[in-house]
Amino acid sequence: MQYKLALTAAAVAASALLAACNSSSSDSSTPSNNTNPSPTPAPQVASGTVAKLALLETTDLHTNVLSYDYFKLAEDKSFGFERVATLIAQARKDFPNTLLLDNGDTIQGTALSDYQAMVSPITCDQTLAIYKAMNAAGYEGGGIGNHEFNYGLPYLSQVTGNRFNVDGQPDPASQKTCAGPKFPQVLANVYSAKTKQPLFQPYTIINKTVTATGPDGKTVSAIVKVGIIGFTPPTILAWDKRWLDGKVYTVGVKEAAEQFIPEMRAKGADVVVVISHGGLDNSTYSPTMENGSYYLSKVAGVDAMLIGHSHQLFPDANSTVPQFNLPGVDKVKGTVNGVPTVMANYWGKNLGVIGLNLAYNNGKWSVDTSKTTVEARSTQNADKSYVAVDPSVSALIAAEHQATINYVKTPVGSTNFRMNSFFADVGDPTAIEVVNLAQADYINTYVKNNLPQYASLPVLSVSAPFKSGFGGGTDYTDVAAGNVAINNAADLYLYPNTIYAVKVSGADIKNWLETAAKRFNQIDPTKTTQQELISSFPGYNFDMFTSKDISYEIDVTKPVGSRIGNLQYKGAPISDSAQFIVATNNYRASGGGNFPGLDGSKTIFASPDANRDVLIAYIKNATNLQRSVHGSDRSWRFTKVATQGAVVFHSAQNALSVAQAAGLSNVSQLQADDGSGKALALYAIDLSK
Amino acid sequence: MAILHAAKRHPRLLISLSVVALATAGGLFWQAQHRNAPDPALRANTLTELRVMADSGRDDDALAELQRLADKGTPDAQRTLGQVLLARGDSEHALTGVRWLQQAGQAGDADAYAALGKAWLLGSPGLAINYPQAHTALQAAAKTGHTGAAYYLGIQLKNGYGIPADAKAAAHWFEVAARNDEPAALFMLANAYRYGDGVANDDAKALALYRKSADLEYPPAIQAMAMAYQHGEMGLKRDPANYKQELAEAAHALKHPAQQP
Repeated sequence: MQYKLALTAAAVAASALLAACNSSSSDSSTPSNNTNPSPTPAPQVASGTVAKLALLETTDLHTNVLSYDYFKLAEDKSFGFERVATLIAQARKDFPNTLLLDNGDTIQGTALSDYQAMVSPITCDQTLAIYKAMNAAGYEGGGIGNHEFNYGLPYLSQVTGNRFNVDGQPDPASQKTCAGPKFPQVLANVYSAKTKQPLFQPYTIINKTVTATGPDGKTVSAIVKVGIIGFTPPTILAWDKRWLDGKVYTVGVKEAAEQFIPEMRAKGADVVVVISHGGLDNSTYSPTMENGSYYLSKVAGVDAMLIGHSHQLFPDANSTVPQFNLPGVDKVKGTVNGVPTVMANYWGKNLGVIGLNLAYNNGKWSVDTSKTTVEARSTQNADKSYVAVDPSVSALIAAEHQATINYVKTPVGSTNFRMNSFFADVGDPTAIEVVNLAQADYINTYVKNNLPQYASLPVLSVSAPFKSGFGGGTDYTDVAAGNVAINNAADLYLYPNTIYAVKVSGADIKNWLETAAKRFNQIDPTKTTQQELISSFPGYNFDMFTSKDISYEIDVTKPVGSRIGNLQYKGAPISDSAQFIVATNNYRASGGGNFPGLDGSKTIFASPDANRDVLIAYIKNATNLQRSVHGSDRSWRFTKVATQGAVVFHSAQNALSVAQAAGLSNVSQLQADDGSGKALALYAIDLSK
Repeated sequence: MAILHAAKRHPRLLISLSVVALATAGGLFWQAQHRNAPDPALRANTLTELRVMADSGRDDDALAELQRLADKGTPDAQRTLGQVLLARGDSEHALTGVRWLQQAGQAGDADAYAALGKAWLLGSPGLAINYPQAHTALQAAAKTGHTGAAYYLGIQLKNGYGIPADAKAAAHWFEVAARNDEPAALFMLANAYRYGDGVANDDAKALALYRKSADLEYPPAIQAMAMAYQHGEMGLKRDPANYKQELAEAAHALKHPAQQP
């Protein structure tokens, strides 16, 4: 009876989900602090007392507080913390005791995170939107993912309320402790190079007050000491080298666990929960391996693992993911080498729930492993609809949300010409030149400042018409004259690439262009019938220069591999041995499209910056794009040839004026509708002009 | 001395370092005589941790300890020291690093030859490209089935860097590396099947290899999958939802790409 009452009371409390839980306190511990925490006077617990405690996990939230896509400026119900919050409330009704923990990759990943980190950086007294929501939801602990390091150490120190003692930051004594999460964050395998001490507290022990059942069946209150310890992929040293090199180093997750878990036990932890931001990998263990959770499960004294990083679901009986089909991994029960383990997908799509049954005997709590339950609850219902949002979440961060929307909509600059790719295949550079200008400018600056050995080499840039009508008349880049906003940048640069610089020879450039020229069918000038100009070679591989400095011709009457002629740099033929730096993207530089000579070996700079962000920065700086400067430089032309029959291609309807504005006087319209049903018109190009 | 100094500030390494020190001081005889011979995996892991400390952590004590272990003549320590010195970037460190790697390689350490081959193939501010030397080193390591060496040997053969191009041999070495789930090699082998480069064109094989590489978070492979869903390539049906999903994954993976071997 009393138990029921307690449950009801818990349910009432949970329905006001976002009221913080005050049922626990935590003793933080560091390796240098070996004294036992002053024990909280524990209520007397009788042997035979049992308690049910559910560990609740979110992971890889990536600042998706709301079910909202900032690029589309539209709701997307398939993700968002405001929906997983509803699952948290439900779990608090289902279990008498819950401990809400986050796995990390929390503060980066949406326009909201960029806005708070870089556009309008939050001040010391402000709390990140995602942490505001988590504070209100009553999180009691969290781990640190790799993405936490994406904005650098000073920012991470500030927003987590820490005072890092690392090179490049003032002495901790002269740093202010800024607002951060109201719950402890733990990370055991990243150390300050300056102090040789862990950057965060490696673990903490939470004194969790639980509602338990005594041996007489009566409801009692008791304290369970739950130790949490966190791990992040050691690979952060490569991924965020620009922020971390020389400042921090990692130790292996297994070694760190073997050092600290016995310490946690010695300090009285009844239950040890590993919060590992990493997946499962059973290849030979190394202290630098990215996904070390498989080996963490084998460290003695681990009662449960909350894992993440892979953006996957575990347990999942139907999972075909290799990491969940390893020996020792039970994808149905949710165990890894016998340790209950959950991975709650990403972006707040799921909530991980590990139900532990605790029994108090011989003066200590232990887990009855035969009764453990593991599940990853989905925000999507069986009928494909989604659970309702918790309305208190959006109320909490309404201002930050609106500010981000305003930021995304804010013009970054303007253009005095329409930038589109309708006629990019036949020479209109308006959708491509601004990308090439931005890329060349960025790489040029980088080389001058950081790669003096290459400073004498010319810097060129290539890009392609990523949207070139494959999906029909609307599948083109098309930015109207006027203001250019952040969301227009995705139209001008479709793919989420990062910018790379390759050092190539004149012969490499010729081969590169020969491959790109596969975009065209071989035209027979003597044929009297109509010939299609564009081949099945995709537009996204039609790399081109758009610069006054480089010029070439494409002879479509020649076979593939011998079409590029008159290749010149600043008016002189380019020799095979001449050296250039070319700005491109990670896909092409790493071998995407199988371009000869592009295989990753020529990359001299693999920037972590996105081509799209480089473009935005360029437009901001240029302020007003003008056709004469940013949209009229054609590096290439078709080699002139008179054809007996028409050479035709398809593009958007009613667009001839666009070709004329670009100076393509050799283009004419044959049919206003080409009959394909794809909103395309048929155009002809006179190759003799 | 260096051990104690480093250990004072980093207690856990004390234990592992003493094991390494014992192992190297006593050599094989010590190992053979003792039931509790040091675990080779433990030794490898300790060297890896020293490397991280000396490299990203710029820890002089860790570097000194590596130097001391290398001086004792064990190839794994010599290789680790060589890698740390090479990573410092300047030519003085690079040249010393190359010497240590050569010494370790000559003693049969395939990792050392693989690291040397890669360094000579790609070049760096401190070390000029040397294709013939790269080829010799990569071949020596690749012959033993070394994943990274097989991949870079494939790269050298594919585009004929300092040697005649041989697409068939390149595909073979990509395949050797791909067997060990090397993401970049899976991607290159996928390209070979897709474009019939050294092997017969096989879109289904290409697709499966791109998929596997993408699952290992290799951004170019995820992007290849995105484009394939976008345009309906390699036998896939056009699928806007999957295209969008792969695009989001590519954006995400770029923040933590699978590392080149």
